[in-house]
Amino acid sequence: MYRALILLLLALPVQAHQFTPTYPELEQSFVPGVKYTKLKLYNKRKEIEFYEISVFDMDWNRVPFAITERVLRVPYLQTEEIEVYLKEKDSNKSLYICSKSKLLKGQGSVPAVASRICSKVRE
Amino acid sequence: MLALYCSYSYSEQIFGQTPNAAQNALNWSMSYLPAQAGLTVSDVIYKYTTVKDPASDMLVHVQNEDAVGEGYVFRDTEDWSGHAANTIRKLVPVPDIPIQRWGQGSIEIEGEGSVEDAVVIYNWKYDTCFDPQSDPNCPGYKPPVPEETIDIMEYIKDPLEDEYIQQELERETPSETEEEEEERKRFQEKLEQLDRVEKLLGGINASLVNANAKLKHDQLMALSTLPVVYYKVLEGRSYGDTLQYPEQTVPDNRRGLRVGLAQELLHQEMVESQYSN
Amino acid sequence: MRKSIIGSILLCGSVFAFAEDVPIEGTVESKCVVTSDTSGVYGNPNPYTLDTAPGQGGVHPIVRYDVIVADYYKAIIEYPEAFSSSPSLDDTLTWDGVVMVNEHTDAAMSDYDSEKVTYNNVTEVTLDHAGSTWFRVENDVEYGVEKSFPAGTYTSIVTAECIAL
Repeated sequence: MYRALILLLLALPVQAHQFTPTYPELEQSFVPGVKYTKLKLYNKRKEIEFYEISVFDMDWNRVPFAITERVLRVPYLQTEEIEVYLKEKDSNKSLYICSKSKLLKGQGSVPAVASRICSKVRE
Repeated sequence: MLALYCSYSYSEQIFGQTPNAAQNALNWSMSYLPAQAGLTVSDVIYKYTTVKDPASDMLVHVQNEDAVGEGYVFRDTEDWSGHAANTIRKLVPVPDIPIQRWGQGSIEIEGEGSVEDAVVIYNWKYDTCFDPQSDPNCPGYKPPVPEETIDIMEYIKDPLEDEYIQQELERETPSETEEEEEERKRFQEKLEQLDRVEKLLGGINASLVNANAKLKHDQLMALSTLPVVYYKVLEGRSYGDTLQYPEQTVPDNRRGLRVGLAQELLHQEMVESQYSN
Repeated sequence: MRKSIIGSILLCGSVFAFAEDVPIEGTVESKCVVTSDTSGVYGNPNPYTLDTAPGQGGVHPIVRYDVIVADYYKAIIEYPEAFSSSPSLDDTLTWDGVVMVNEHTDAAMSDYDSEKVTYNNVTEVTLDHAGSTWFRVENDVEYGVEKSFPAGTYTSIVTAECIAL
Protein backbone atom coordinates (compact mmCIF):
# COMPACT_ATOMS: atom_id res chain seq x y z
CA MET A 1 0.00 0.00 0.00
CA TYR A 2 2.74 2.43 1.00
CA ARG A 3 4.79 1.40 -2.04
CA ALA A 4 1.84 2.22 -4.29
CA LEU A 5 1.54 5.64 -2.65
CA ILE A 6 5.21 6.45 -3.07
CA LEU A 7 5.20 5.49 -6.74
CA LEU A 8 2.14 7.69 -7.32
CA LEU A 9 4.08 10.69 -6.09
CA LEU A 10 6.89 9.91 -8.52
CA ALA A 11 4.83 9.00 -11.54
CA LEU A 12 2.53 12.02 -11.70
CA PRO A 13 3.50 15.68 -11.98
CA VAL A 14 2.83 17.01 -8.51
CA GLN A 15 3.10 20.31 -6.76
CA ALA A 16 3.47 19.37 -3.16
CA HIS A 17 4.39 20.79 0.19
CA GLN A 18 5.84 18.64 2.97
CA PHE A 19 6.63 19.46 6.60
CA THR A 20 8.11 16.79 8.88
CA PRO A 21 8.29 15.29 11.44
CA THR A 22 4.66 14.97 12.47
CA TYR A 23 5.50 15.02 16.18
CA PRO A 24 8.74 16.93 16.77
CA GLU A 25 10.51 16.60 20.11
CA LEU A 26 11.72 19.62 22.06
CA GLU A 27 15.31 19.60 23.28
CA GLN A 28 17.26 21.84 25.63
CA SER A 29 19.07 24.59 23.76
CA PHE A 30 22.36 26.24 24.71
CA VAL A 31 20.38 29.01 26.45
CA PRO A 32 18.88 28.08 29.84
CA GLY A 33 15.10 28.33 29.87
CA VAL A 34 14.78 27.91 26.10
CA LYS A 35 13.99 24.76 24.19
CA TYR A 36 14.23 24.11 20.49
CA THR A 37 13.25 21.61 17.85
CA LYS A 38 14.26 20.88 14.26
CA LEU A 39 11.87 20.47 11.36
CA LYS A 40 12.24 19.95 7.61
CA LEU A 41 10.32 21.80 4.97
CA TYR A 42 10.29 20.42 1.42
CA ASN A 43 8.93 22.52 -1.40
CA LYS A 44 7.69 20.82 -4.51
CA ARG A 45 5.46 23.67 -5.62
CA LYS A 46 7.05 25.39 -8.57
CA GLU A 47 4.99 28.58 -8.19
CA ILE A 48 5.65 28.97 -4.44
CA GLU A 49 8.97 30.08 -2.97
CA PHE A 50 8.07 31.51 0.43
CA TYR A 51 6.72 29.82 3.51
CA GLU A 52 5.76 31.36 6.83
CA ILE A 53 6.43 29.57 10.09
CA SER A 54 4.11 30.13 13.04
CA VAL A 55 3.39 28.51 16.38
CA PHE A 56 -0.06 28.13 17.96
CA ASP A 57 -1.48 26.58 21.07
CA MET A 58 -4.37 24.14 21.06
CA ASP A 59 -6.88 27.01 20.89
CA TRP A 60 -5.10 28.46 17.87
CA ASN A 61 -3.71 31.42 19.78
CA ARG A 62 -0.31 32.58 18.61
CA VAL A 63 2.62 31.58 20.82
CA PRO A 64 5.82 33.68 20.82
CA PHE A 65 8.78 31.88 19.36
CA ALA A 66 12.19 32.63 17.85
CA ILE A 67 13.50 31.63 14.47
CA THR A 68 16.19 32.96 12.13
CA GLU A 69 13.59 33.93 9.51
CA ARG A 70 9.86 33.90 10.02
CA VAL A 71 9.21 33.89 6.27
CA LEU A 72 11.57 31.44 4.61
CA ARG A 73 12.61 31.25 1.03
CA VAL A 74 12.58 27.61 -0.08
CA PRO A 75 13.26 27.24 -3.80
CA TYR A 76 11.55 24.57 -5.86
CA LEU A 77 12.66 20.98 -5.02
CA GLN A 78 14.72 22.18 -2.06
CA THR A 79 14.55 21.10 1.55
CA GLU A 80 15.07 23.63 4.30
CA GLU A 81 15.91 22.60 7.84
CA ILE A 82 14.62 25.04 10.43
CA GLU A 83 15.08 25.42 14.17
CA VAL A 84 12.26 26.82 16.26
CA TYR A 85 13.07 28.12 19.74
CA LEU A 86 10.39 28.25 22.44
CA LYS A 87 10.33 29.36 26.06
CA GLU A 88 10.41 26.46 28.45
CA LYS A 89 7.17 27.57 30.13
CA ASP A 90 5.39 27.43 26.73
CA SER A 91 6.82 24.06 25.85
CA ASN A 92 5.00 22.27 28.65
CA LYS A 93 1.73 22.28 26.71
CA SER A 94 0.71 20.95 23.29
CA LEU A 95 1.59 23.24 20.43
CA TYR A 96 1.19 23.38 16.66
CA ILE A 97 4.18 24.43 14.58
CA CYS A 98 2.88 25.31 11.13
CA SER A 99 4.32 26.14 7.75
CA LYS A 100 2.09 28.02 5.33
CA SER A 101 2.73 28.83 1.70
CA LYS A 102 2.82 32.55 0.91
CA LEU A 103 1.46 33.74 -2.44
CA LEU A 104 3.04 36.95 -3.72
CA LYS A 105 0.73 39.71 -4.86
CA GLY A 106 1.09 40.85 -8.42
CA GLN A 107 2.36 37.47 -9.58
CA GLY A 108 1.44 36.68 -13.20
CA SER A 109 -0.88 33.78 -12.54
CA VAL A 110 -1.74 33.42 -8.90
CA PRO A 111 -2.33 29.81 -7.89
CA ALA A 112 -5.62 29.06 -6.25
CA VAL A 113 -4.38 26.88 -3.39
CA ALA A 114 -2.53 27.96 -0.26
CA SER A 115 -1.31 25.01 1.79
CA ARG A 116 -0.57 24.85 5.49
CA ILE A 117 0.82 21.84 7.30
CA CYS A 118 1.07 21.74 11.08
CA SER A 119 3.20 19.45 13.17
CA LYS A 120 2.22 18.90 16.78
CA VAL A 121 4.47 19.18 19.82
CA ARG A 122 2.88 16.90 22.39
CA GLU A 123 3.05 17.82 26.07
CA MET B 1 54.26 -0.28 -28.18
CA LEU B 2 50.92 -1.57 -27.34
CA ALA B 3 48.18 -0.27 -29.56
CA LEU B 4 44.76 -0.01 -27.89
CA TYR B 5 41.64 -0.40 -29.93
CA CYS B 6 38.38 0.76 -28.30
CA SER B 7 34.97 -0.35 -29.34
CA TYR B 8 31.70 0.00 -27.43
CA SER B 9 28.51 -1.98 -27.13
CA TYR B 10 25.36 -0.81 -25.45
CA SER B 11 21.80 -1.77 -24.68
CA GLU B 12 18.93 0.64 -24.15
CA GLN B 13 15.80 0.44 -21.98
CA ILE B 14 12.64 1.51 -23.77
CA PHE B 15 9.65 2.52 -21.61
CA GLY B 16 6.07 2.97 -22.66
CA GLN B 17 2.43 2.88 -21.67
CA THR B 18 -0.58 1.24 -23.26
CA PRO B 19 -3.73 3.18 -24.07
CA ASN B 20 -6.81 2.53 -21.95
CA ALA B 21 -7.38 -1.23 -22.20
CA ALA B 22 -10.90 -0.93 -20.73
CA GLN B 23 -12.09 1.82 -23.10
CA ASN B 24 -14.62 -0.41 -24.89
CA ALA B 25 -15.61 -3.03 -22.36
CA LEU B 26 -14.79 -4.51 -18.96
CA ASN B 27 -12.98 -7.41 -20.69
CA TRP B 28 -9.99 -6.95 -22.94
CA SER B 29 -7.14 -8.84 -24.56
CA MET B 30 -3.53 -7.86 -24.03
CA SER B 31 -2.94 -6.97 -27.68
CA TYR B 32 -2.27 -3.42 -26.46
CA LEU B 33 1.18 -4.58 -25.32
CA PRO B 34 3.81 -4.34 -28.11
CA ALA B 35 4.93 -7.76 -29.37
CA GLN B 36 8.53 -7.26 -28.31
CA ALA B 37 10.95 -9.92 -27.06
CA GLY B 38 11.84 -9.45 -23.42
CA LEU B 39 9.00 -7.00 -22.72
CA THR B 40 7.86 -6.83 -19.07
CA VAL B 41 5.07 -4.96 -17.31
CA SER B 42 6.18 -2.92 -14.28
CA ASP B 43 2.89 -1.47 -13.00
CA VAL B 44 -0.82 -1.23 -13.59
CA ILE B 45 -2.73 2.05 -13.24
CA TYR B 46 -6.50 1.89 -13.00
CA LYS B 47 -9.40 4.19 -12.28
CA TYR B 48 -13.17 3.68 -12.20
CA THR B 49 -16.31 5.12 -10.64
CA THR B 50 -18.70 2.88 -8.75
CA VAL B 51 -22.46 3.20 -8.85
CA LYS B 52 -23.98 1.58 -5.79
CA ASP B 53 -26.10 1.95 -2.72
CA PRO B 54 -23.93 2.88 0.28
CA ALA B 55 -25.41 0.05 2.35
CA SER B 56 -24.91 -2.67 -0.26
CA ASP B 57 -21.98 -5.08 -0.47
CA MET B 58 -19.69 -4.92 -3.46
CA LEU B 59 -16.24 -6.15 -4.38
CA VAL B 60 -14.44 -4.97 -7.52
CA HIS B 61 -11.52 -6.97 -8.92
CA VAL B 62 -9.18 -5.61 -11.57
CA GLN B 63 -7.37 -8.68 -12.88
CA ASN B 64 -5.45 -10.47 -15.62
CA GLU B 65 -5.46 -14.23 -16.14
CA ASP B 66 -2.21 -16.15 -16.16
CA ALA B 67 -1.66 -17.18 -19.79
CA VAL B 68 0.95 -19.77 -18.83
CA GLY B 69 -0.41 -21.37 -15.68
CA GLU B 70 -3.62 -21.30 -13.72
CA GLY B 71 -5.15 -18.46 -11.77
CA TYR B 72 -4.29 -14.81 -12.15
CA VAL B 73 -1.01 -13.11 -12.85
CA PHE B 74 -2.43 -9.84 -11.46
CA ARG B 75 -5.43 -9.20 -9.26
CA ASP B 76 -6.25 -6.13 -7.19
CA THR B 77 -9.43 -6.01 -5.15
CA GLU B 78 -11.26 -3.10 -3.55
CA ASP B 79 -13.98 -3.77 -1.01
CA TRP B 80 -16.78 -1.19 -1.40
CA SER B 81 -19.14 -2.97 1.01
CA GLY B 82 -20.85 -0.45 3.25
CA HIS B 83 -19.14 2.51 1.58
CA ALA B 84 -20.63 5.21 -0.59
CA ALA B 85 -20.02 5.19 -4.34
CA ASN B 86 -17.05 7.23 -5.52
CA THR B 87 -14.09 7.23 -7.87
CA ILE B 88 -10.93 5.31 -7.14
CA ARG B 89 -7.53 5.85 -8.74
CA LYS B 90 -4.63 3.47 -8.01
CA LEU B 91 -1.18 2.54 -9.22
CA VAL B 92 -0.21 -1.05 -8.41
CA PRO B 93 3.43 -2.07 -8.97
CA VAL B 94 4.10 -5.60 -10.31
CA PRO B 95 7.48 -7.37 -10.30
CA ASP B 96 8.40 -6.99 -14.01
CA ILE B 97 6.19 -9.81 -15.22
CA PRO B 98 7.06 -10.89 -18.79
CA ILE B 99 4.60 -10.41 -21.64
CA GLN B 100 4.00 -14.15 -22.16
CA ARG B 101 2.16 -14.44 -18.84
CA TRP B 102 -0.34 -11.64 -19.37
CA GLY B 103 -3.66 -13.18 -20.34
CA GLN B 104 -7.17 -11.81 -20.68
CA GLY B 105 -7.87 -8.75 -18.53
CA SER B 106 -11.17 -7.85 -16.88
CA ILE B 107 -12.94 -5.87 -14.19
CA GLU B 108 -15.07 -8.28 -12.21
CA ILE B 109 -17.83 -7.16 -9.86
CA GLU B 110 -19.13 -9.19 -6.95
CA GLY B 111 -22.26 -8.01 -5.20
CA GLU B 112 -24.66 -5.19 -6.04
CA GLY B 113 -23.48 -2.25 -8.07
CA SER B 114 -21.73 -1.35 -11.27
CA VAL B 115 -18.62 0.35 -12.53
CA GLU B 116 -18.32 3.10 -15.13
CA ASP B 117 -15.66 5.25 -16.80
CA ALA B 118 -13.09 2.49 -16.30
CA VAL B 119 -9.48 3.18 -17.22
CA VAL B 120 -6.79 0.45 -17.10
CA ILE B 121 -3.28 1.28 -18.29
CA TYR B 122 -0.16 -0.90 -18.28
CA ASN B 123 3.36 0.53 -17.96
CA TRP B 124 5.86 -1.63 -19.84
CA LYS B 125 9.55 -1.68 -20.67
CA TYR B 126 12.02 -3.79 -22.67
CA ASP B 127 15.72 -3.99 -23.40
CA THR B 128 16.69 -3.44 -27.04
CA CYS B 129 19.47 -6.02 -26.61
CA PHE B 130 17.34 -8.72 -25.01
CA ASP B 131 18.31 -10.76 -28.09
CA PRO B 132 22.02 -9.91 -28.61
CA GLN B 133 21.85 -11.03 -32.23
CA SER B 134 19.33 -8.30 -33.06
CA ASP B 135 22.00 -5.61 -33.36
CA PRO B 136 25.77 -5.80 -33.94
CA ASN B 137 26.19 -3.11 -31.24
CA CYS B 138 24.67 -5.33 -28.54
CA PRO B 139 27.00 -6.89 -25.95
CA GLY B 140 27.38 -10.60 -26.62
CA TYR B 141 26.76 -10.27 -30.34
CA LYS B 142 28.45 -13.06 -32.33
CA PRO B 143 29.13 -12.55 -36.03
CA PRO B 144 27.40 -15.19 -38.10
CA VAL B 145 29.37 -18.10 -39.60
CA PRO B 146 30.14 -17.50 -43.36
CA GLU B 147 28.03 -19.55 -45.74
CA GLU B 148 30.82 -20.87 -48.02
CA THR B 149 31.78 -24.51 -47.35
CA ILE B 150 35.27 -25.50 -46.28
CA ASP B 151 36.93 -28.72 -47.45
CA ILE B 152 38.33 -29.99 -44.19
CA MET B 153 40.54 -32.54 -45.93
CA GLU B 154 42.70 -29.69 -47.19
CA TYR B 155 43.81 -28.99 -43.65
CA ILE B 156 44.50 -32.57 -42.58
CA LYS B 157 47.99 -33.95 -43.19
CA ASP B 158 49.37 -37.40 -42.53
CA PRO B 159 52.16 -36.85 -40.00
CA LEU B 160 54.09 -39.83 -41.36
CA GLU B 161 54.46 -37.98 -44.65
CA ASP B 162 56.39 -35.20 -42.96
CA GLU B 163 59.96 -34.92 -44.24
CA TYR B 164 61.61 -34.56 -40.84
CA ILE B 165 59.71 -37.44 -39.30
CA GLN B 166 60.77 -39.62 -42.19
CA GLN B 167 64.43 -38.71 -41.57
CA GLU B 168 64.15 -39.68 -37.91
CA LEU B 169 62.55 -42.99 -38.76
CA GLU B 170 65.30 -43.82 -41.23
CA ARG B 171 68.16 -42.95 -38.86
CA GLU B 172 70.04 -45.95 -37.33
CA THR B 173 71.76 -45.94 -33.95
CA PRO B 174 75.54 -46.76 -34.26
CA SER B 175 76.64 -49.96 -32.50
CA GLU B 176 79.11 -49.78 -29.69
CA THR B 177 82.63 -51.30 -30.05
CA GLU B 178 84.10 -53.42 -27.20
CA GLU B 179 86.55 -50.70 -26.25
CA GLU B 180 83.88 -48.11 -25.95
CA GLU B 181 81.80 -50.50 -23.82
CA GLU B 182 84.60 -51.04 -21.29
CA GLU B 183 85.29 -47.31 -21.11
CA ARG B 184 81.65 -46.68 -20.29
CA LYS B 185 81.61 -49.36 -17.55
CA ARG B 186 84.71 -47.88 -15.85
CA PHE B 187 83.21 -44.41 -15.86
CA GLN B 188 80.00 -45.69 -14.31
CA GLU B 189 81.84 -47.42 -11.46
CA LYS B 190 83.75 -44.25 -10.72
CA LEU B 191 80.54 -42.30 -10.45
CA GLU B 192 79.06 -44.83 -8.02
CA GLN B 193 82.16 -44.67 -5.82
CA LEU B 194 82.04 -40.89 -5.68
CA ASP B 195 78.41 -41.09 -4.70
CA ARG B 196 79.13 -43.39 -1.73
CA VAL B 197 81.97 -41.16 -0.42
CA GLU B 198 79.72 -38.09 -0.62
CA LYS B 199 76.94 -39.75 1.39
CA LEU B 200 79.37 -40.81 4.09
CA LEU B 201 80.91 -37.34 4.42
CA GLY B 202 77.47 -35.62 4.44
CA GLY B 203 76.28 -37.61 7.48
CA ILE B 204 79.38 -36.82 9.57
CA ASN B 205 79.29 -33.08 8.76
CA ALA B 206 75.63 -32.74 9.55
CA SER B 207 75.98 -34.18 13.06
CA LEU B 208 79.05 -32.07 13.81
CA VAL B 209 77.32 -28.81 12.74
CA ASN B 210 74.23 -29.56 14.80
CA ALA B 211 76.09 -30.35 18.04
CA ASN B 212 78.35 -27.26 17.86
CA ALA B 213 75.56 -24.89 17.14
CA LYS B 214 73.47 -26.21 19.99
CA LEU B 215 76.30 -25.83 22.48
CA LYS B 216 76.93 -22.22 21.47
CA HIS B 217 73.28 -21.35 21.77
CA ASP B 218 73.04 -22.78 25.29
CA GLN B 219 76.08 -20.81 26.41
CA LEU B 220 74.69 -17.52 25.11
CA MET B 221 71.36 -17.99 26.83
CA ALA B 222 73.08 -18.83 30.14
CA LEU B 223 74.88 -15.45 30.13
CA SER B 224 71.56 -13.53 30.16
CA THR B 225 73.08 -10.60 28.27
CA LEU B 226 70.19 -10.42 25.85
CA PRO B 227 67.14 -8.61 27.30
CA VAL B 228 63.99 -10.74 27.23
CA VAL B 229 61.58 -7.83 27.24
CA TYR B 230 61.81 -4.02 27.17
CA TYR B 231 59.62 -1.99 29.53
CA LYS B 232 59.43 1.38 31.06
CA VAL B 233 56.82 2.97 33.26
CA LEU B 234 55.30 6.19 31.82
CA GLU B 235 53.99 8.61 34.39
CA GLY B 236 50.57 9.83 33.41
CA ARG B 237 48.64 12.86 34.56
CA SER B 238 45.09 14.04 34.42
CA TYR B 239 43.70 17.44 33.41
CA GLY B 240 40.99 18.78 35.61
CA ASP B 241 38.23 21.21 34.57
CA THR B 242 39.28 24.75 35.33
CA LEU B 243 36.70 26.89 33.46
CA GLN B 244 33.09 27.00 34.48
CA TYR B 245 30.22 29.14 33.34
CA PRO B 246 27.88 29.89 36.23
CA GLU B 247 24.21 29.23 35.54
CA GLN B 248 22.24 32.35 34.82
CA THR B 249 18.80 33.28 33.61
CA VAL B 250 18.53 35.78 30.78
CA PRO B 251 15.98 38.40 31.78
CA ASP B 252 13.67 40.09 29.21
CA ASN B 253 14.88 43.51 28.13
CA ARG B 254 11.98 45.80 29.07
CA ARG B 255 13.49 48.83 27.31
CA GLY B 256 13.98 46.77 24.18
CA LEU B 257 10.38 45.60 24.30
CA ARG B 258 9.07 49.18 24.48
CA VAL B 259 11.25 50.44 21.66
CA GLY B 260 11.30 47.36 19.48
CA LEU B 261 7.72 46.12 19.67
CA ALA B 262 6.13 49.01 17.82
CA GLN B 263 8.73 48.80 15.08
CA GLU B 264 8.37 45.03 14.98
CA LEU B 265 4.61 45.33 14.47
CA LEU B 266 5.07 47.88 11.71
CA HIS B 267 7.69 45.76 10.02
CA GLN B 268 5.45 42.71 10.19
CA GLU B 269 2.59 44.72 8.64
CA MET B 270 4.83 45.77 5.78
CA VAL B 271 6.02 42.23 5.17
CA GLU B 272 2.47 40.83 5.21
CA SER B 273 1.26 43.44 2.71
CA GLN B 274 3.25 41.85 -0.07
CA TYR B 275 1.43 38.51 0.20
CA SER B 276 -2.08 37.57 -0.89
CA ASN B 277 -2.72 35.33 2.14
CA MET C 1 51.66 -38.64 -1.99
CA ARG C 2 50.49 -38.15 1.60
CA LYS C 3 52.18 -34.75 1.71
CA SER C 4 50.49 -33.66 -1.47
CA ILE C 5 47.07 -34.74 -0.12
CA ILE C 6 47.59 -32.85 3.15
CA GLY C 7 48.82 -29.82 1.24
CA SER C 8 45.77 -29.76 -1.01
CA ILE C 9 43.41 -30.15 2.00
CA LEU C 10 45.11 -27.21 3.78
CA LEU C 11 44.89 -25.12 0.61
CA CYS C 12 41.20 -25.88 0.22
CA GLY C 13 40.58 -25.09 3.89
CA SER C 14 42.17 -21.67 3.61
CA VAL C 15 39.73 -20.42 0.91
CA PHE C 16 36.41 -21.13 2.75
CA ALA C 17 34.07 -18.10 2.53
CA PHE C 18 32.48 -16.86 5.75
CA ALA C 19 29.02 -15.46 5.23
CA GLU C 20 27.59 -12.71 7.40
CA ASP C 21 24.08 -11.33 7.64
CA VAL C 22 23.99 -7.68 6.66
CA PRO C 23 20.76 -6.10 7.81
CA ILE C 24 18.97 -3.39 5.87
CA GLU C 25 17.03 -1.06 8.13
CA GLY C 26 14.53 1.63 7.42
CA THR C 27 11.63 3.42 9.02
CA VAL C 28 8.35 4.59 7.63
CA GLU C 29 7.94 8.19 8.75
CA SER C 30 4.46 9.55 9.11
CA LYS C 31 3.91 12.61 6.98
CA CYS C 32 1.27 14.53 5.14
CA VAL C 33 1.84 15.90 1.68
CA VAL C 34 -0.50 18.57 0.36
CA THR C 35 -0.54 18.95 -3.38
CA SER C 36 -2.26 21.43 -5.62
CA ASP C 37 -3.49 18.98 -8.25
CA THR C 38 -5.65 21.33 -10.33
CA SER C 39 -5.81 25.11 -10.16
CA GLY C 40 -9.33 26.36 -10.37
CA VAL C 41 -10.86 28.68 -12.94
CA TYR C 42 -13.96 30.82 -12.53
CA GLY C 43 -16.51 30.57 -15.25
CA ASN C 44 -18.75 33.58 -15.90
CA PRO C 45 -22.14 32.09 -16.89
CA ASN C 46 -23.86 35.45 -16.40
CA PRO C 47 -22.61 38.99 -15.60
CA TYR C 48 -23.23 38.74 -11.87
CA THR C 49 -21.95 35.18 -11.18
CA LEU C 50 -18.54 33.57 -11.02
CA ASP C 51 -18.62 29.78 -10.71
CA THR C 52 -16.05 26.97 -10.82
CA ALA C 53 -18.55 24.38 -12.08
CA PRO C 54 -17.57 22.84 -15.45
CA GLY C 55 -21.11 23.37 -16.70
CA GLN C 56 -20.67 27.11 -16.04
CA GLY C 57 -17.39 27.31 -17.92
CA GLY C 58 -15.21 26.88 -14.87
CA VAL C 59 -12.81 24.33 -13.39
CA HIS C 60 -13.06 23.09 -9.83
CA PRO C 61 -9.76 23.32 -7.95
CA ILE C 62 -8.59 19.95 -6.70
CA VAL C 63 -6.33 19.44 -3.71
CA ARG C 64 -4.64 16.15 -3.03
CA TYR C 65 -3.66 14.84 0.38
CA ASP C 66 -1.18 11.97 0.78
CA VAL C 67 -0.76 10.39 4.20
CA ILE C 68 1.67 7.59 4.92
CA VAL C 69 0.15 6.52 8.25
CA ALA C 70 -3.55 6.59 9.05
CA ASP C 71 -5.03 8.59 11.95
CA TYR C 72 -2.09 10.98 12.25
CA TYR C 73 -3.56 13.96 10.40
CA LYS C 74 -6.79 15.75 9.66
CA ALA C 75 -7.48 17.76 6.54
CA ILE C 76 -9.02 21.21 6.85
CA ILE C 77 -10.09 22.81 3.58
CA GLU C 78 -11.59 26.27 3.30
CA TYR C 79 -13.30 27.43 0.16
CA PRO C 80 -12.81 31.13 -0.61
CA GLU C 81 -15.02 33.80 0.92
CA ALA C 82 -13.11 36.79 -0.39
CA PHE C 83 -11.11 37.74 -3.45
CA SER C 84 -7.37 37.99 -2.93
CA SER C 85 -7.18 40.30 -5.92
CA SER C 86 -9.95 41.87 -7.96
CA PRO C 87 -11.10 45.15 -9.47
CA SER C 88 -12.69 47.58 -7.04
CA LEU C 89 -16.07 46.26 -5.82
CA ASP C 90 -18.60 48.41 -3.98
CA ASP C 91 -21.37 45.94 -3.27
CA THR C 92 -21.82 42.78 -1.27
CA LEU C 93 -20.63 39.41 -2.40
CA THR C 94 -22.56 36.23 -1.69
CA TRP C 95 -20.25 33.26 -1.47
CA ASP C 96 -21.17 29.59 -1.54
CA GLY C 97 -19.20 26.40 -1.79
CA VAL C 98 -18.69 22.80 -0.83
CA VAL C 99 -15.76 20.42 -0.49
CA MET C 100 -16.27 16.88 -1.79
CA VAL C 101 -14.11 13.78 -2.16
CA ASN C 102 -13.28 13.53 -5.85
CA GLU C 103 -11.04 10.46 -6.02
CA HIS C 104 -9.08 8.22 -3.66
CA THR C 105 -6.79 5.21 -3.60
CA ASP C 106 -8.74 3.20 -1.02
CA ALA C 107 -12.42 2.31 -1.28
CA ALA C 108 -12.93 3.04 2.45
CA MET C 109 -12.04 6.71 1.84
CA SER C 110 -15.39 7.26 0.16
CA ASP C 111 -16.76 7.54 3.72
CA TYR C 112 -14.93 10.85 4.16
CA ASP C 113 -17.89 12.61 2.52
CA SER C 114 -20.31 11.29 5.11
CA GLU C 115 -17.88 11.67 8.04
CA LYS C 116 -16.67 15.19 7.32
CA VAL C 117 -17.51 18.13 9.61
CA THR C 118 -18.49 21.46 8.01
CA TYR C 119 -18.88 24.87 9.59
CA ASN C 120 -18.82 28.28 7.86
CA ASN C 121 -16.62 27.74 4.82
CA VAL C 122 -14.54 25.07 6.51
CA THR C 123 -14.58 21.33 5.92
CA GLU C 124 -12.72 19.06 8.33
CA VAL C 125 -11.93 15.44 7.53
CA THR C 126 -9.98 13.06 9.74
CA LEU C 127 -7.64 11.12 7.46
CA ASP C 128 -8.10 7.71 9.02
CA HIS C 129 -6.90 5.72 6.00
CA ALA C 130 -3.39 5.75 4.55
CA GLY C 131 -3.15 6.67 0.90
CA SER C 132 -4.12 9.54 -1.39
CA THR C 133 -7.36 11.50 -1.43
CA TRP C 134 -8.34 14.14 -3.96
CA PHE C 135 -10.76 16.81 -2.67
CA ARG C 136 -12.80 18.87 -5.10
CA VAL C 137 -13.65 22.43 -4.05
CA GLU C 138 -16.81 23.82 -5.58
CA ASN C 139 -17.19 27.57 -5.25
CA ASP C 140 -19.40 30.31 -6.64
CA VAL C 141 -20.02 33.99 -5.86
CA GLU C 142 -22.73 36.48 -6.77
CA TYR C 143 -22.31 40.26 -6.86
CA GLY C 144 -24.96 42.37 -5.20
CA VAL C 145 -28.48 41.76 -6.50
CA GLU C 146 -27.75 40.59 -10.04
CA LYS C 147 -25.18 43.37 -10.43
CA SER C 148 -22.56 42.92 -13.15
CA PHE C 149 -19.01 42.26 -12.13
CA PRO C 150 -16.61 44.95 -13.36
CA ALA C 151 -14.14 43.74 -15.98
CA GLY C 152 -10.83 42.54 -14.65
CA THR C 153 -9.02 39.56 -13.13
CA TYR C 154 -10.57 37.89 -10.11
CA THR C 155 -8.49 35.61 -7.94
CA SER C 156 -9.34 33.82 -4.75
CA ILE C 157 -7.53 31.27 -2.64
CA VAL C 158 -8.46 27.84 -1.35
CA THR C 159 -6.70 27.08 1.93
CA ALA C 160 -5.75 23.45 2.40
CA GLU C 161 -4.38 22.52 5.80
CA CYS C 162 -3.02 19.27 7.19
CA ILE C 163 -3.00 19.31 10.99
CA ALA C 164 -1.36 16.65 13.13
CA LEU C 165 -3.77 14.94 15.52
